[in-house]
Amino acid sequence: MSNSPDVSRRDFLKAGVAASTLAGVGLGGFYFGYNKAIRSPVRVGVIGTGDEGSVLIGALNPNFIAVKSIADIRPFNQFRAFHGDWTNKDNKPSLLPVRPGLMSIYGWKTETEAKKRVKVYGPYQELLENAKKDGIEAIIIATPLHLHAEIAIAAMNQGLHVITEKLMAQTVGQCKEMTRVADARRLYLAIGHQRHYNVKYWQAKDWIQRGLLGDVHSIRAQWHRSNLPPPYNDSWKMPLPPGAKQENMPIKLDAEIVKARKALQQSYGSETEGWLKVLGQLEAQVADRQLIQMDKALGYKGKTVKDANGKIVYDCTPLEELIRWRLWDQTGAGMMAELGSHQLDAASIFVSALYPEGHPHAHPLRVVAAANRPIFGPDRDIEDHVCCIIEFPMPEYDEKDKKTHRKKISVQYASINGNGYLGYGELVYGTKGTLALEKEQDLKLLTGSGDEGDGETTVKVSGGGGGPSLDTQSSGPARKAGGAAGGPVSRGYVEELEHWAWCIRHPAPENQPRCTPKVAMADAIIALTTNLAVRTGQPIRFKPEWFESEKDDTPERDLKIEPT
Amino acid sequence: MYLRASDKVSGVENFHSAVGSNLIRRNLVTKALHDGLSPRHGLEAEHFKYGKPKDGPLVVGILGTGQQGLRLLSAINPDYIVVKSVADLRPSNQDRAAEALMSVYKSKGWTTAEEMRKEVAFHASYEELLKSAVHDNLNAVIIALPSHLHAPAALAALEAGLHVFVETPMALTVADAKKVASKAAQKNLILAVGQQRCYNWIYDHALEMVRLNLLDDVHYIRSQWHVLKPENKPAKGESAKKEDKKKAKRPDEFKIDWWQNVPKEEADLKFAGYSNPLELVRWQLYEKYSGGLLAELGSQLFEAAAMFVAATPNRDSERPYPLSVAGSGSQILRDSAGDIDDHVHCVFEYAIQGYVEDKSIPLKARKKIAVQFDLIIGNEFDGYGETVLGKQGSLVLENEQKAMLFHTLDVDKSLRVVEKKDSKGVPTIVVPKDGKADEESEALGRLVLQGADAGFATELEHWAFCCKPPADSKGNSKPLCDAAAGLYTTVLTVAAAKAVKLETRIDFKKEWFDVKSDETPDQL
Repeated sequence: MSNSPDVSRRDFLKAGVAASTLAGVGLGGFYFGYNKAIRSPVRVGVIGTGDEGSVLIGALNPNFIAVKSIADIRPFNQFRAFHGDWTNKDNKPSLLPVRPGLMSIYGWKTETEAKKRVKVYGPYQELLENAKKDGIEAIIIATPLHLHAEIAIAAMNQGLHVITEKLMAQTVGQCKEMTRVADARRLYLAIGHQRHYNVKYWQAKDWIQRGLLGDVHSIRAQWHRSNLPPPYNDSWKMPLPPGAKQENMPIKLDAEIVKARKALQQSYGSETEGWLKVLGQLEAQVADRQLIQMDKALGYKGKTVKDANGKIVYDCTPLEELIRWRLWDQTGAGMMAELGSHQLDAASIFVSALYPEGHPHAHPLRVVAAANRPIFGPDRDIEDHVCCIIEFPMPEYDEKDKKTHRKKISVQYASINGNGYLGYGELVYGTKGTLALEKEQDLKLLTGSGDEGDGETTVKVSGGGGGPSLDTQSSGPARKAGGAAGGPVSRGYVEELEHWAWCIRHPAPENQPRCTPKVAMADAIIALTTNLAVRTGQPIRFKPEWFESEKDDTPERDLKIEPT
Repeated sequence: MYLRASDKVSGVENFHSAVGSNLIRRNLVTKALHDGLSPRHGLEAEHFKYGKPKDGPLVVGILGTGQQGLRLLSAINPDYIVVKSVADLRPSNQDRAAEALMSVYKSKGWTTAEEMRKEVAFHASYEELLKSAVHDNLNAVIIALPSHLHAPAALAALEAGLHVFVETPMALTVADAKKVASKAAQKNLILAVGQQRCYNWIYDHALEMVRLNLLDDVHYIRSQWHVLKPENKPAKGESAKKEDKKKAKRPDEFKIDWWQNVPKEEADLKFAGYSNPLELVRWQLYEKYSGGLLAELGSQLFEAAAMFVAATPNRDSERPYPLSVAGSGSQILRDSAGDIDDHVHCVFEYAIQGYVEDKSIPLKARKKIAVQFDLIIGNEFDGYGETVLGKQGSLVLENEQKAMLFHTLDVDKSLRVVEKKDSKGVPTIVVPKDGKADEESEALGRLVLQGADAGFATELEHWAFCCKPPADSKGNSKPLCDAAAGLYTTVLTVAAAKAVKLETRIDFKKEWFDVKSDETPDQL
């Protein structure tokens, strides 16, 4: 990177503190190679402002990005794009800090003021049709998965740069097409695997490279969530607007509205404003009922589920498919796409630490997978649990050499519902220690068996030419790899957007977002091939050609899998 | 992502509190207190329904006194078993056995090893021991030889009319396991397989919780065995260090050390069946002797996980064995001695209630649960054991010594076991609002678990009872881990090894588990 500061990674935290005082650029900017603010913000349209799109809006730095238009067919999501997420949890808008809304980010006081600056569209096609008129140069895509490729390609064909949420696309064929269009049109296409911009992952990689763990020989990751059928909560089965369907759900929007109205009447002072927002959001959510009779052109068809005897056991309407798109094969790609891809992405960052700097990413060799549905009923296509083993080659691996053909490092992965035991994170096992990265935030080095008496470890970096040393404290506080001043570390959303905008303003072959189509396609191949291994019930060997965008080989084609 | 030491403390307290609660084992606790019984003082015998063998202790020979043989020998209760002969190729193992015998049979009043050796015959090979079985008046043998000899030794012993206790794995092939099982049945002899978790007092209570559905339908099990490879081992042939000798005196310790060195005095010996002494000393590291990690460690974990699957009320009782297994193996550590994979990972799937095998139902939508195993050399983080997850709670078993219970929501909360209000008295886990533990239950639970062994002592006692039950006994004269259980585990182990080797998913066939059928996965 041309603007990489000339310091060794060893000193990056110290230097980063100094650098972060530069106007408008945080530690991420320093570390990820864009240590200058840009001359004018990139003008963008945001397509899809639901749960994830609203998180991205919350991560916008106005110095880098100016939102000129948004598109979402749901009134609920349009509301949240501007006002933020006012979902009421125990009388607190607890999601507001992560989804603050455009008005808060850009300092617009009223919706009217905001809408003078930001055009609002329903279908994404309308946003793209007006792109020129609205003066946008680029788009942010955070729609359901099945639309990523379609929208990205249409946008790039109009000359717009793109950043799309992960997974890159629903099939490897789509990923390849996206890559080819971006290459042909020399546009920036970035994909939102935010761990590539999370300082903790690069610090973890640094620890591995310095040998703090000894020889790294295994990796394990998990994402356990406590989702259960009613009366409990299931985070991917969001409530439908009244009138859409008779069903027993823990959250009833009608009742929520009654509650909010009552609270509003009894409120005073600044509380009133809050309750107005809560009520406004609930009403917008109810207004989603206008989509009950939905135009098929919007991309949602619905589905009837049958049992082994051909009897219909579940009827998913198009609106339900839109609102709960993560649960259905037509619109999503299950746990591997939504959760697993992030963590396998992290695993490939760790694996890359075993290779010399600058070595191309090692592609996986083989996947073994199983998925099942022990808990939920037929109200979805996707699995409850998926577990898999992904084999990566070690640097000395040689398929044809008897001595080294078993030099493989495996990543064990499991994502389950029904029990949130120990949450989510990654563990890297070495011969001298174990590295734990929890919830994208807490990085620790652990020694010994992890039992009482064994210590979490402080990493002391000795100066000069000396190697790093481990200092075990049996009861002392663990060293938490910190942000510049030890505050909470960015999960990477801010930096990924800043860097993408910076690249757009500084176009050059060497200026590339960290999660390029090549990197993101590799992540998609792992997730989607794992799904194919589940579907066929057989382990699958990855083919090197799948990872090359110029070749037509894809797992779907080679395994003769019909698209769903 | 991992349990903190403080989480472990609260998890153990929670487990105690559940054990002592009205809905789990309060009756057992009350009875134990009333009768003055406690672990290793009559409580297990009462619970598993056995007593001392008829007409005095069972007379046995021990075949193999390496790490595992010594562990068993040290666990012997002299009231149940008397050792009359010992066989081991290695003089140093014989010496360790002699030392252990002196300590186990203190009541014999032997003052020197010579005195002891007048009553206990030492043989250089198991074949020799078996030849002298009649002369030594043996009733039975304990087999703890390298695994490739388990089946041949068991067959020979059964042929000689001796009851058998054989360490797990019972055999390295399913065909051999079936031969051993048929021979025992044909000769009407007792055969027990050394899967001590069947008798582990802590597992027994954990299994009872699963049986009573305290976790609310087990839906996922993860099991691991993380073994630390001692770093900077001296090169091949160097004499054993002092620490190694010290270690050898503590056979009760669970730490695995497969990287022992050949002691000077054995360096020049020839051991029949092994091309050099190191191969015998480190036999676990060679596929042909041990069957690799899957047989050596996996077989134990497979059995333990299967016990949890069998205990959960949502199991598919029509399909008591797994549907399929797939896996992966690698040799990654720089200086792996031997030829086994040092990392093996595999996933078994079991059917649960509602499982339908029909092409129209995608595999991912079927009612199954996955049991995931990670066997790793090179890192001992979190040791070994099972994590059993249900919709309401999590049970974590660690190193055969510790069990922890957690609510699904959090690992650092105290919890209480109460009766489910809505239905048939199924216990519910609640996290009390005041955060206070159920101290009475916890104290009672702790009391009934204190002093328990890992299961070695109990499994040997019960086996001895089964071999010679008193005529009027109402006890259970069938070992909990019998030939059928040994065969079950062997099938899982062999199938997993095939799945790893052939890089394919293996679907289990009912016939593999049927001792009368000749079908096996051996030739896949």
